[in-house]
Amino acid sequence: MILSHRDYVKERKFSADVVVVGTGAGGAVAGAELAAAGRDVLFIEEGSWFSTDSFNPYSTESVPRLYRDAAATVIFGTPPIPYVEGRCVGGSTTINGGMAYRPPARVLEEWSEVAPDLGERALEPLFERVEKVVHVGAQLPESIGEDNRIMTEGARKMGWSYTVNQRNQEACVGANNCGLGCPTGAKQSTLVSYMPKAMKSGARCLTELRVQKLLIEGGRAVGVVARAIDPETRKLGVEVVVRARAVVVACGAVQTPFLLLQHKLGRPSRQLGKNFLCHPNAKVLAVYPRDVQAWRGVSQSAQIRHFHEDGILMAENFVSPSILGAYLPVHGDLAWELMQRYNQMVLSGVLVEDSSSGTVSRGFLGTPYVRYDITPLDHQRFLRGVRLLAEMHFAMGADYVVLPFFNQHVARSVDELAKIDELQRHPSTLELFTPHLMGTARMGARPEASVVDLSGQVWDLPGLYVADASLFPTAIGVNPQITIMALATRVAERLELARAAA
Amino acid sequence: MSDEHGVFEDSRVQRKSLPVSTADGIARHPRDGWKLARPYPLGTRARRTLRALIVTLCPSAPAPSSPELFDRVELHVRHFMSYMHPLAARGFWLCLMLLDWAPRLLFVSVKRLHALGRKRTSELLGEMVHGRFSFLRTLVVAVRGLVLSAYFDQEEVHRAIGYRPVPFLTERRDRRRLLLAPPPVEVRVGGVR
Repeated sequence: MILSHRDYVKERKFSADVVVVGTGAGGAVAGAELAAAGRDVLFIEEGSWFSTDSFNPYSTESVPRLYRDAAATVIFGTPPIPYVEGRCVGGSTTINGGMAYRPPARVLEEWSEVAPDLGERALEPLFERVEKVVHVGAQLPESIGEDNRIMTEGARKMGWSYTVNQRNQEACVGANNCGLGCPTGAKQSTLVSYMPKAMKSGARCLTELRVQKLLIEGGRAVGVVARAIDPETRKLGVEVVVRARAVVVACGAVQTPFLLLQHKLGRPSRQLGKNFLCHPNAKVLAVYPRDVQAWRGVSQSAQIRHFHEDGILMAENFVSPSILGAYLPVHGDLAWELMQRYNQMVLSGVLVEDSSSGTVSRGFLGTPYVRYDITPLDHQRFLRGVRLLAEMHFAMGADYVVLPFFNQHVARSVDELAKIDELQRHPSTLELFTPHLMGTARMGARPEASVVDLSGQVWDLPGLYVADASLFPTAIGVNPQITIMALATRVAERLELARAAA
Repeated sequence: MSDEHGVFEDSRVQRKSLPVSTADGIARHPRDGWKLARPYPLGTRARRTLRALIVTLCPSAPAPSSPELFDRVELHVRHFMSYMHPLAARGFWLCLMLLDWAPRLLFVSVKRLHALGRKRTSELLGEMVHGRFSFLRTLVVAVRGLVLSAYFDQEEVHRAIGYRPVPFLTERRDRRRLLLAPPPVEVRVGGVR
């Protein structure tokens, strides 16, 4: 059963064994596992359920359909960092690039110090399980675009190691529309993998509902109160109440603490909303003297991992003209001059593993307030990463590169890159972006140091579980979806065990 | 496995109000029952400023630049505003108002931005975006990002820059169908293949 806003006029009360808030990498996986174990699962999703064949390359319609707040979301700090999250069935897995990486061994070693349950050996079977469901593997060679060839050839030329990406895809032919929904169904987002599996096991899904608060009775979470969203006016309408024996919150590292903070949870450690991590990215756009047509072929077929131990990752990630248009550093005829060479562009990025953390709190008038500042170490990592990536593009014959600094947008030669150190003395000149939000309800073995226990249950509210990227004890330095899926599987298993014991 | 329609048929669907796309091509507005929200209500003054900003931020001829195209850009910006958090949408409106008054507030001109003319407005926005004040920079970057994103999503602009996504995506979709199709069954007639 899949319902949308118009159905709640008639039906406003539901009950289930487990209510799962969110259908992304965390919620869909936890819900599907519980449904497969015979539990009556009910999903609540703020966005709508869109079918694969409705996805198109037009951002003016796709972004409002698929992204939270039409992607007008920002992390405050120095510098401010725009971030994006999915708001549709499948969550951010519907709009991500489809990278499917496990965390590096050194990260899992660090996690095992928090609890052995979070170590490599304990998580191995979970990774294997989710990788099988979402078909993790390398791309078909014919799906790889010319821009990726330039990147890998460039890495080889510079003597850098690179890794062929593992992606959650099945027969991906390189449509390169990942960010606006995969129109071929190849990308195994939870929309086409875990959610159908859950529905097959009898789960129900209430879409176009925003959860407003938790229902707490006798010191236990017993459900949620949500309100329907009118798709035409975007106003909140009728109230819907869902009662359940357990509540799983999987709304992402911003919305999950935002919901939980309302109930003043996380008291034992006061860590709820803290430890916000976001893997900030900086874009380096290279313009070549020849046609590349980077939009023809899969985005991100490989990553340059030569500097990964230093917390720097580099990759290609080409986007449609309208998404690129949103990040142009110029306007008017200069923007046109630049975009006339759209077919000659290669868009690449530098991802930096956080060396510090930020916070999520409840801001004015019902908005989450996210605060994060770049540290001097990360600033230096960005300067180094951008310079290296730009040097690689020049080595590959780029005419010029567009840099992510508001006071130094163009470099036409390697010599001009030397000015980076001179001009970029403060992080405020950086132009960053992020799709990876993590770590605001960290998992742990001790209530005084974490928000949830090792089964994902909130220490100070029995019956309430978290199953999303909020659980991460530290940043992982790679794309997080597979790790979220593995931890959500763990949460479902332990919740199921707890229910069976009860 | 990847076909959610098949799953709906199998699942215990009691009532399905889910819109299922009937689009046979790659449509800008898929016919799946989904409605785009109403454009965000803006008053005359805010619309006048937004229009002046659109004319300035978007390229001029020979780039596609008709009044009808600018109408569409304006409409898309207002649609986007409807999907923003109400506080962010209100903030965007305030941003438009502040930009309109910016020439006076910065002692650049006695005229407001909407009356400044394209060239002068462009210079002023350029100065603001490279200036010392991060607040002003953020105002311009926010409006510029939204306007240029809508502009570079238009068909005539796609054609002008050589981006043809629909035939490409259609071809890739067909290619994947072929890849996943079962191998053809051999037919033998009278012992002759």
